[in-house]
Order: sequence, then structure tokens, then C-alpha cells
Amino acid sequence: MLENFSFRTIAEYLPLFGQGLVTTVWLSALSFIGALVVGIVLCAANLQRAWMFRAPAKAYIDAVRATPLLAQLYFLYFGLPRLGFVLPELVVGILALSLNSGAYVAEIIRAGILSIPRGQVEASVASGMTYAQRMRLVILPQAFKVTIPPLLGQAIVLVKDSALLSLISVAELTRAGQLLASDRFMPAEGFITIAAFYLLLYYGLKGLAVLSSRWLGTAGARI
Amino acid sequence: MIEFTFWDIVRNLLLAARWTVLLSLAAFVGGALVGLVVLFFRIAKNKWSKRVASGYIALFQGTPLLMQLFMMFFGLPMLGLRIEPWTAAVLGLTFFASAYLAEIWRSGVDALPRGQWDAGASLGLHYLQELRLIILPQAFAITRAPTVGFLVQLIKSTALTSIIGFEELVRTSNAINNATFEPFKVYGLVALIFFVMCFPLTQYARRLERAAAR
Repeated sequence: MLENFSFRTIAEYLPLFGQGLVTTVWLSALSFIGALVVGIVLCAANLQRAWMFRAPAKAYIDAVRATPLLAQLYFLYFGLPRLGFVLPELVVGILALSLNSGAYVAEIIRAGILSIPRGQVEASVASGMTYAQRMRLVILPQAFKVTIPPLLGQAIVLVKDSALLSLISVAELTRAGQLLASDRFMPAEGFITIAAFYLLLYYGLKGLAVLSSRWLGTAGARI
Repeated sequence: MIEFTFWDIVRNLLLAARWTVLLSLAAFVGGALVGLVVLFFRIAKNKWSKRVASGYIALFQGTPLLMQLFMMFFGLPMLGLRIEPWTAAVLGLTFFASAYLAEIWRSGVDALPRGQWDAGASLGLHYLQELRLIILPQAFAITRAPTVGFLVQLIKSTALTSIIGFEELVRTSNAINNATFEPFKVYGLVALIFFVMCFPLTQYARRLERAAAR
């Protein structure tokens, strides 16, 4: 295999890999934005005192975190058409990734908010702030700092998870590798090339996480 | 055409779940053994040993597991090795787990105060004895929560081996779904079985975390 490793074939397929990489990047970015929205809503519900908000959010988070993304993806991919929603694969994929990652994002944000010492809350209550003021001026700015590095960690997970969309025939990076592997019967060339691209994204996001924790003064935080 | 009753579906899924459990256990044990070796290289004083181990960890943490499984299943036969779905699944998940476990335990080793090593040295222990008697037991103890957390991730990851043809829970459910056209029932049950396996472990990990924070 390795003695006739064909760089020429890789070069020939490079435009396809390029498109795959671009698709992986933007669909991950969209899913991440979706996950942030889902996560913020879930977290807000989860931090309410009222049982009727807290319980469903908690149930959703626990259910998503204890089941595989692949099962969730199939659930939506095969299930939605039965309900009459015939959506393009790409949309189903982004939906599944957003709904899945949202549960993890919710827990990251919650951990950030709960990491603020109790005394801060008491101090802001004592100085006569309302709940909204307390959140906006005291809690969230500090929580924001500690959540950025783990959120970037979740972005790394999301990029890797997006490989699963190749299974519902979304033309992203892993799909490009599969095409080369099956068209030319060159699995090494196909999969080593996409490994290199994924590592590029991984090191990029990891570098960003390290930089952000340095800027925000939370160096040493777990990413 | 064969008719599936609800209990046929449940029974078939539960039978398939045995393979999910077995694969998770095999990958966890294999991953722990290989992970120990990687950890050993990762915390060695030699610069190159550290770099190689870091590269290994980045390779498996930085790429999708699906791609790693494809590499095992389609790549290894090109080296002349006979590979079947279950060998590719166990090997792929073992390497995957080893990288994560090595990194988790390394954080435990790093968290120990320098004095622990010094104390070991002053008692006349050599490097391996220090590791075995002083450093690793403590490193394992303080990383128990993330280790259990990773086990949950590993159990969920076994779902991906369905793609390379390993007959576990998700692959069986695909077959049943193709026969019954009842995706909500079939995948809902699959999710429920995974939930029953994983949720107690996530709760356990959460409890360990809380105990450690105290």
C-alpha cells in the first residue's frame, strides 16, 4: 500500500477535498450557532426555580447526553419524513448537530454561571439590583470568561461529529475521502488526506482556545 | 414478509445490545492497557518520547472516530492483514480510547504536587516504583470522574461500528427499521437502551465530581 501511495491521485481529487473542507467548516459553524441558541434556552430553563421549566430542560439534556448522536441522527432522518417533514439531508444534519451539541453547551454555560461565587450574588442583591441587572452586570460577564475555552472545546467535538453527516450523504470532508477510497480503491490516500484536514481544523480551534484563555485571563482552564 | 410484533423488536434489540456491552468492555480494557503505555511515554522526561505520545493523542482526538474506523477497516487489508468487522471495531475503539484515557490520566499526574515525586525519590524508590506505588494510584483516584465520563462516551461511540458492519444495537435497529418502517418506535427503543446503559454512569460521574469538588 505505502510503496505505491499516490500523491497524484490526491492532487487530482484536491478540488473535491477543498469543497468538502469548506462544507464541513460552514455546516459546523451553522450547527454551532444553532447549538448556542439551543444551549442558552435550555440553560435558562434549567436555572429556573419553577419545576415546569426546569424538569423538561433537565430531561432533554440527560436524554441527549446519554444516547449516541448516530441514533439521534437516524431518529430524525427516518422519523421526520413520517411526520410529513421532507427536508434536505443537509438541513436534517445541521438540525441533529445543533440539537445534540445544544445539550452539551447548556451544561457548559450552567457550569460557568454556577462557578461564580455565591457572595457575588449576595453582594448584588445587597446593592439593590434586580434579577436582570444582576445577570447582565455581574454574573454573565464573569461566566462568559470561563465558558469560552470549553465552548471552543465543544466546537472541536462538533467538527468531528459532523463526519457522521457523510452517512446521510452530505458532501462534506469525510464523504470526499470515501469517494476517493471507493472510486479508485485507494482508502489510504482518501482517509489520510481527510485526517490531515481534520487535524488542521483541530489544531486551529485548539490554538484559538489556548489564545482565548490567555486573553481572558483564565489560563490553565480545562479545554 | 415477516411480521414484527413489539416484543420481537424489543427482543432483537436486547440481543444486539449484548454486543454493544461486550464491545464497550473490550475497548475499555484494551484502551486502558494501551493508554497506560501512551501515558508512560507522555510523562517521560525524554523530549522525543513526549512528542511522539502527544502526536498520537492529537491524531486520535483531532480526527473523527468514523474516519479512524474506516482507516482500520479499509486500510489494514491493504497492508495484507485480514480484517473483519469485529476486529476493526475492537482495534479502532481501543486506539481511540487509549488516546483519551492517556490524556485524562496525564492531567491527573500533572495535578500531583512535585513533592510526591521528591518524597518517593528520597525513600530510594526508582522511577517505575514511584509511578506504581505513589503517582499512578493518586492520579487514577483524582481522575475517576472524567474516566467514568469517558466510558459513557465510549459506549455511545460503539454505535459507529455499525457503519463498518459490526452487528451491534444500531446496525440491528437499521435492519428492523427497514423491515417495519417504524423509525420512531425502533430508534426510540435504541435510544432508551443506550440511556439505560449510560445514564447511571453519568449520574455516578456527576456524584464523583461533586465529591471531588468538596
